[in-house]
Amino acid sequence: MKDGSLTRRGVVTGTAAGLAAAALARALPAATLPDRGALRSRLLPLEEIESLRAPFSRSTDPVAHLLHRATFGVRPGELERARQLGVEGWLDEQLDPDGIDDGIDEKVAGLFPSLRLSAPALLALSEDREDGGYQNAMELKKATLYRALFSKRQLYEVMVEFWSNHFSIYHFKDVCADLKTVDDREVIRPRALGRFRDLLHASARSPAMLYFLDNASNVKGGPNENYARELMELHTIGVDGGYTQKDVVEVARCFTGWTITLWEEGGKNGTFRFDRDSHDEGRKTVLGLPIAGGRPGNVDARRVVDLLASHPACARFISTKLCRRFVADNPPQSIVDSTVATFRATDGDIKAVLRTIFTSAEFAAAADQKLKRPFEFVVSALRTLDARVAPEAVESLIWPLYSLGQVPFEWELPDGYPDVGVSWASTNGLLNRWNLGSTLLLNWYDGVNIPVRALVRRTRAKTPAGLVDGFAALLLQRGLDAPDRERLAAHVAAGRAPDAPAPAWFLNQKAQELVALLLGSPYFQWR
Amino acid sequence: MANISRRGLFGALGALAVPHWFPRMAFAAPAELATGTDTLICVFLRGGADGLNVVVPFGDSHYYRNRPTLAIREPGGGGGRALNLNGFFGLHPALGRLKELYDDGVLAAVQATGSTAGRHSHFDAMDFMERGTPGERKLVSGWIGRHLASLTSANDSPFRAVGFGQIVQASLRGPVPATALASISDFHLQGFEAERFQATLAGLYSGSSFLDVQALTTFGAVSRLAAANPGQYEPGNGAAYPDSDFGSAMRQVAQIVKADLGLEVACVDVGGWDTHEEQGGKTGYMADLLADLAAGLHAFYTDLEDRMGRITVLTMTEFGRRPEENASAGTDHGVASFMFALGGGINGGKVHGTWPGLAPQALDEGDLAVTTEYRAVLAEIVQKRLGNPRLGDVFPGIGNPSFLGICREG
Repeated sequence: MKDGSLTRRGVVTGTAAGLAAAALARALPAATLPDRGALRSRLLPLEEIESLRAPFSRSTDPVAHLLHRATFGVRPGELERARQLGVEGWLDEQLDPDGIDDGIDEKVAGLFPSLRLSAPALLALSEDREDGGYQNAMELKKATLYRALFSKRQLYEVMVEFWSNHFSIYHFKDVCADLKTVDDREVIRPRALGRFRDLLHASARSPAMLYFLDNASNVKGGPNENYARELMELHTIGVDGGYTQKDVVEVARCFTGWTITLWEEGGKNGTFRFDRDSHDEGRKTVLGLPIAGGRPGNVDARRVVDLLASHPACARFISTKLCRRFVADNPPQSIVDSTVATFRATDGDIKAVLRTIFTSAEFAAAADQKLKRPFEFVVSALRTLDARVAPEAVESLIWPLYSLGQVPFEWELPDGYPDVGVSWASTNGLLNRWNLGSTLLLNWYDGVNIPVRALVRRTRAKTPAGLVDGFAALLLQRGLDAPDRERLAAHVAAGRAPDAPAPAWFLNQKAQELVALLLGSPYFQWR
Repeated sequence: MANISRRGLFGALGALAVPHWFPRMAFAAPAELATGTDTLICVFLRGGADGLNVVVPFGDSHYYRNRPTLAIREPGGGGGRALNLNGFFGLHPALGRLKELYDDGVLAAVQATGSTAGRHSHFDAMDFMERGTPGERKLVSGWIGRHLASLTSANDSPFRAVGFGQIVQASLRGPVPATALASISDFHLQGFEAERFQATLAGLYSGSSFLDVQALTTFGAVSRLAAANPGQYEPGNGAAYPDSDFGSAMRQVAQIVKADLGLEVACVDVGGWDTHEEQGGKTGYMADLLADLAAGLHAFYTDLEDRMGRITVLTMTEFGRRPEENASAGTDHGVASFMFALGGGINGGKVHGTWPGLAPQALDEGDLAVTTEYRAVLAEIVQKRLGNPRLGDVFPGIGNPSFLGICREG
């Protein structure tokens, strides 16, 4: 964490009692512990390392499946609405985010004013505050979380997250704390559903990216290879895309002089600058193709970007990554192939590519194959529960993301957060997911309110078992497997008959624990 | 299934119907665990640490030709110069605390070690190194995971293998579940604490899938940690851990060691070594990283001094950096780098390995050449300190590597 004075302490209810409770280590009573023999004999199934298996029956509702993958969580009522629209209709709507008026931009701009500032203004503000950009960075994280929670342009927000992770920039590398705000607003968001080529061009000129991957200091005579290598390895053609170390150096030479203005008088700090004097004007050869060099030198790198965007390996690399995000950790070759075909036929039209994926048979057959990553877990918990989040409480919801290990823009390496289940199915991950479920329902987060009673009313449940079914439908958009249903119904009934009517006060009281259990259950960990 | 032993389970796995793409497992019947083995702490320096400015080859004049602004000066009068190790190599001046351990004979360095697999790519190089199978992805497990699986062990503790951080290091992947631990003080259940609640939650994870086993491990780890009640931790012998992520991780490793929770292997990551720009020389960015590394290792050694006879700490990194500095006062991705080994069983006070030299003709396509493949170092530790003779299970295809003599048998 950047600022040592900020701890998670300030977040979970400010009361001393709450803190004491939170700080106390609670032993799991011996009676509930798996016995030593069981523990010893339980080994991880190695075959799942490449593709985790959901430990419950596959859900069969195609609309719910689509919402699980294409949104950050299903709010009450959204499934019914999507059913009316149908898969195609829902996709049409979501792929045209400008047609969805959710007022989110105005709202976010009001709540997080630094989002609208120019690069020079952001840098100047941080200089005045002497906080190294911390507050500006926090505003962007909060805005990102807020949009994921409340925007109706869900697929758009999902894609913004995808590209932010693809063109990953670590927030706390010096001025990236300020400049990422501009990258988010002017590079990623305008093109998240556009053409990949345009996004790549914009990213290559993004001051935050140029700074993060050291191209800002890439000059002739001793080129800095960092951006050049990651441009090929991570952003376009992949490590097996057929480039050599010589290509890395040549691409770096093409990008010499692509820098940013910093620490200068005048209103240009943090903006892109082509520095002709440090550009290498010599001839270059990239992936076997000649680049003439000469003047104006700033076209060399643009040619490289075009060449990479058109490269067949780029179509495959990006398509594979999208299929990994939306279909499975190890997507079937056939869906990767058809995605590649669309990518190439449309020159990387992201909307067309998404349509190919979401309407494919492979997608339809892939329900419950993706473990939610921490950000998806936290946001989907709040969305499905229709949580009321006061604007000043958004920050407190960033802290569980730290415990879980996925805070927006805080992956230090340029490859972005992992997108496969094996990375996130850890003891730390499960423990913190369980704890978030419990503490949310116990109202430990000031300003975050879960409307449990309203949700109970929505289930129209009259019995403990009915309550379990109702909340499964609400939270998971599916029914539970019989043993789990029985287990939870017995838990809720607490000695009563699970199928006998119970008074409303009883169901209201039990709903808290039930919801925490469902959030902590295997079912809610998958999307 | 409750009575099945690991040996039995591995036998049974061979007969299971597995998907055709499933990589053949390299395990033979597990070896018996030798009595008395070390706890291994594996510290991974992420980003490709510049070994040339850590274990400085001040005796090679080409070092200074390649590094006009970044070189560390040869030992001599005044501060800020390399700390002489053997008349040819010296430690970076920020590593004074490690020089003490080197002089005490418990710290060794290996120079020009690494691998050419995944050349220059962080992600490929790390991936191959953590799998322990250079250039090969047939096995999904990591080298430490295979080490643990190849031994019959009565140790069923969820703390047998611990990865510090939110994500378990790839080297720990394997059938023996490792515990991902970000913070001991936060590693407990919060909120609904009643036994009934937890029993119901555990019941929802009663299958045998990956997630189920992780859940079981989590419950086990939480309860054992609470029973050990590590509480407020006071390091021994006045050890002072640095106030950093690395210091905190090493302090917690020590805490787990002292709580006798059955720790056999811990993995700790230290980020920030990708010094393309402004890496600094005797002072600056990398010097600060090194000072933190040295302070953390020194504190750990001091804290656990009476146990260090049975502990080995190993540092590694995915690659070194190009001898020739770039125009941004940094260095780009190279190949060979360094390792440190620390512990009572280490043949310390030595720089192990063969120096290939930095003369242009000695370089491997402009990079420092690898003269000791990293697996040779790991294999020696695995065999001599971890008591595991099954090197072919841990590093398939390794054959009979020649050991550097970095540690003693025992």
